[in-house]
Amino acid sequence: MDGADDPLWGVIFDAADTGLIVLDGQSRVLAWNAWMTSASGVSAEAAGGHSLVEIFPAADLARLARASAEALESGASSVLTHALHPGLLPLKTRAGLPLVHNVSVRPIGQKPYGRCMVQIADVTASAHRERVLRQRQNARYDAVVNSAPDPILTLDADGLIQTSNPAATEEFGYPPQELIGQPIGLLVRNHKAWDEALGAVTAGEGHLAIELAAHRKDDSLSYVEASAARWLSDSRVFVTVIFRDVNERRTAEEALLRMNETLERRVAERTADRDRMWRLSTDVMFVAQIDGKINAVNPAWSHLLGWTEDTFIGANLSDFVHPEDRKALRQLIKELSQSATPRLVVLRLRTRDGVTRWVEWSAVAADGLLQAVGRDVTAEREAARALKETEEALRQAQKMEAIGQLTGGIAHDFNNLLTGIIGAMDILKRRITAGKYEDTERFMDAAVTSANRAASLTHRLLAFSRRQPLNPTVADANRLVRGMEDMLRRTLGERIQLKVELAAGLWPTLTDAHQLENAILNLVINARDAMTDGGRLTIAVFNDTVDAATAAAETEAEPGDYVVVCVRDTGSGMAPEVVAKIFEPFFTTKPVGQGTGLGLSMIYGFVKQSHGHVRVESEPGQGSAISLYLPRHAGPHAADPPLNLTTPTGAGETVLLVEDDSSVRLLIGEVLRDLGYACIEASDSQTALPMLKSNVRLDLMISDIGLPGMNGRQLADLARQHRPELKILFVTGYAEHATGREGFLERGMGLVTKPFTLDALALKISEIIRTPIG
Amino acid sequence: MTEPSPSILDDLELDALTELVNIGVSRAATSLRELVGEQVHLSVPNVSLVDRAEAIAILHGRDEDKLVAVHQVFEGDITGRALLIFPETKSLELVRAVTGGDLSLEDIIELEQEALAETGNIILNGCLSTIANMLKRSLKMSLPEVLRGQAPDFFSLAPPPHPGDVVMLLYINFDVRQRDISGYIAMLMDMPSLAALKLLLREFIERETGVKAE
Repeated sequence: MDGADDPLWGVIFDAADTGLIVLDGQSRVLAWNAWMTSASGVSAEAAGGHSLVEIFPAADLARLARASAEALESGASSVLTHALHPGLLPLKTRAGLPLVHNVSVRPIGQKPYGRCMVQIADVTASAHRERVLRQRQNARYDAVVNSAPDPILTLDADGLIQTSNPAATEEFGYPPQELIGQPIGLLVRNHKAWDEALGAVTAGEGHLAIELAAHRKDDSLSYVEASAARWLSDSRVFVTVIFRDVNERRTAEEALLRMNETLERRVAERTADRDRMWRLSTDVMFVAQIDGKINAVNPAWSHLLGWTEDTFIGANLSDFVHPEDRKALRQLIKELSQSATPRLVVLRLRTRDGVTRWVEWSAVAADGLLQAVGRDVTAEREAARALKETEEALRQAQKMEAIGQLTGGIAHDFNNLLTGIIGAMDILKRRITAGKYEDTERFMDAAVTSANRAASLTHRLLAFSRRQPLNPTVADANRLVRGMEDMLRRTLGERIQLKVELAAGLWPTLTDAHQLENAILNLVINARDAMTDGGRLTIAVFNDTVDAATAAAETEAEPGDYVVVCVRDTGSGMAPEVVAKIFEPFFTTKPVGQGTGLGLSMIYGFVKQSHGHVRVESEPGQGSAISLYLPRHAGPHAADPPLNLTTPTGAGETVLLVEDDSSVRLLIGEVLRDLGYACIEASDSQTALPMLKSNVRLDLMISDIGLPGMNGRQLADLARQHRPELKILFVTGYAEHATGREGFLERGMGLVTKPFTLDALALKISEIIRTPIG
Repeated sequence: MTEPSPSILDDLELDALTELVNIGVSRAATSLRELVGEQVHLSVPNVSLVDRAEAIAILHGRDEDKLVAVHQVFEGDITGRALLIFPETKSLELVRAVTGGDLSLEDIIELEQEALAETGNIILNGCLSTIANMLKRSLKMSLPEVLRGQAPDFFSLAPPPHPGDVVMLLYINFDVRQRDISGYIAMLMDMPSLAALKLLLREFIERETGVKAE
């Protein structure tokens, strides 16, 4: 170099702000500038003549030596960077800090090169700047990534983990050093979709969003939602993966899934149960549309009607319903479609064989469909009908038997009585014919006694059939019982003590006194028969009020005020099953022939007819008490009937007698004439009418009710048209029309029942004639 | 001296050149081994002499368009540019291979530029200085410079090339730390330089074989 010896070059050499070393052909230091002295602490004098290896014995200078050798030998220039040779030479900055440097070696001059120059470039500032920039950048990045709640990993193109954040350590259990450099497969194992998606993202195609189970360090699974994005750094591909922890959501979803599964299972089980019932049920079930088109039937249909299931599906319900019930079916469907209330109805179905089956349906309409279950009640219906027929037959048989017993008993009694009457009459007839009038009185009395007994018997029969004509009057039960006391005492005999308890202030009662006497007598006789070894019999008469509660407890009682006649004995008593039957006709506890069994039944009929009731209290061995509850009469006690010992007689009044029975007509006509009345006789209404229309004087018409053609009541109406003031007395042996007289008898009318005594008839006629109308 | 066409190097001369280059890269491998501390294999299977367009086409034929190159200028009896060219995606891998596995990605990225320059410098110096020494000629080589771009960029550097420039293209394979990285060494020369190279090669062959070529 020209002017190399010029001192200026030395000044410039030392002034250069870079390290300059000149080596000779043996790599020994020829020159060493001031920068080198400052940076290395080695003076130019100390360095001169020494190789760099000698100057820096601790440094690894093999590469530098080779570079200087190449420069000297072949003119090559070399660079030794701090990147590959950090801290190559032990150099310091002015501040004493490590000096980052690159070293270049180049030959000096022309070949052959006797010298080479080693140049040391201070890159501390740029290296530091890069580091600061990087740290700043990292600080921002780290602030985001390290505080992120989601694990964030950065992968290189090969899927090796390059960075890991604290959340990843938290989530997967691996510290960063155990993750970096590892393949992502450490966390996501054998996941084809993931591998493919990650490959696509790495290649810059598509995106990644997959929910997957990642393996934690402890091999447990963590459910994450992975998303990934590709980025480039100096054309190098990186993929940052963010794993969002979805374990909580996943757990909730799984719980929901399990619930759904169990729900499905439960539903399936229940459905199976229902299906089983549908199939097993012997009841017929169907689902049909509102128009009656059948959607489904259960197998019971086939069993019941004989057709296969196919026949029913799609067919109309009414095809299988009995023609007579189709209207009812239409009505049912109409009602169901208007109301959600289930209906119960019986519809008949026809089987394939044409047989009718009675089916009791429970049907409902819901969701536009008819659903119904039907039970085949044909057998029940048939059984019920058979039972009814059997019962009817039994009742008929019982009735016939009862009639047989009754007629037999009555015929027997009547025959006895008739024998007495006919016999007495025969004797009388013979005596009168023979003119022997003495001693006829006895036979006449016998005939009358028998006839009265017969009258009593028919009366009882009518009472039993509750068709006796009651003649209710206001009665004082105390007086009635007191009047019977002597007779009862005689009836009971000496072994039974009679006690009569009559309450003071007794209410009046409206009843047929005669029937009540009969009833009391009957009860007393029954009581006597129950006390074969003697005992005490009490007849109590008192007031009682039946309240609503008591009435409800005793089915036959009505609430109200009653006069009670109670007959109590100390006899054998009755078992409950006997008590339950004592009012049944012909029921008797007495041996055959000793009683008709009509007694209590007759009493029951009489009391019911009087609007009262009977209460029975009895226990075996404890005696019995039978109480007759007779309704209280609102009015006062009737005054004692006037004592009338003489038969009233007429004063020439004219009486029209209408009676179809000639014997009775003869008898009554004879009586009327005997009593001093004029009597016109007619056998029926037709005969009587002209006389009623005539101007003949008529004070009274006595008419039988049961007349051929126009009956007595109708005749009376006609008669009143002509003679509004005509008094009328009806005679009847059968008081069906007259039971309960309201409406039957008008003013100026009376009723006398057959049989009657002549005295009774005379009294009634006199009474009605003398009583003014109005 | 007539102007030789790019194909003027005969087979013998190409063989000789290939041998020289292989010696050069093996020297470079030695240097790299010292640097890396592990076995480094470098091999150059063949050498081809092509024009610029062909060279660009060959480099374009590679998978990736984006390339990285370490560039050095050489001057002397033959003058031109030497380039060590890699796909850009492989450059980081090369740096990692050279620097070892201990550095973090960020460190490698930071070091990439300088490490690449030094690595390319070692390889190119190895080739060029070996050739120069073997041909008993001197080549002065510049310091390395890292370039990024596409193949046409590398072959159009200022000053503008002459139409007759030729490219000696060498396929090079690196095998470092189980990483297999391939790239190219390209030497861009003008025709006079190529003619000089041919002469030098013939002298070398005569010297080595004792036979004077035709």
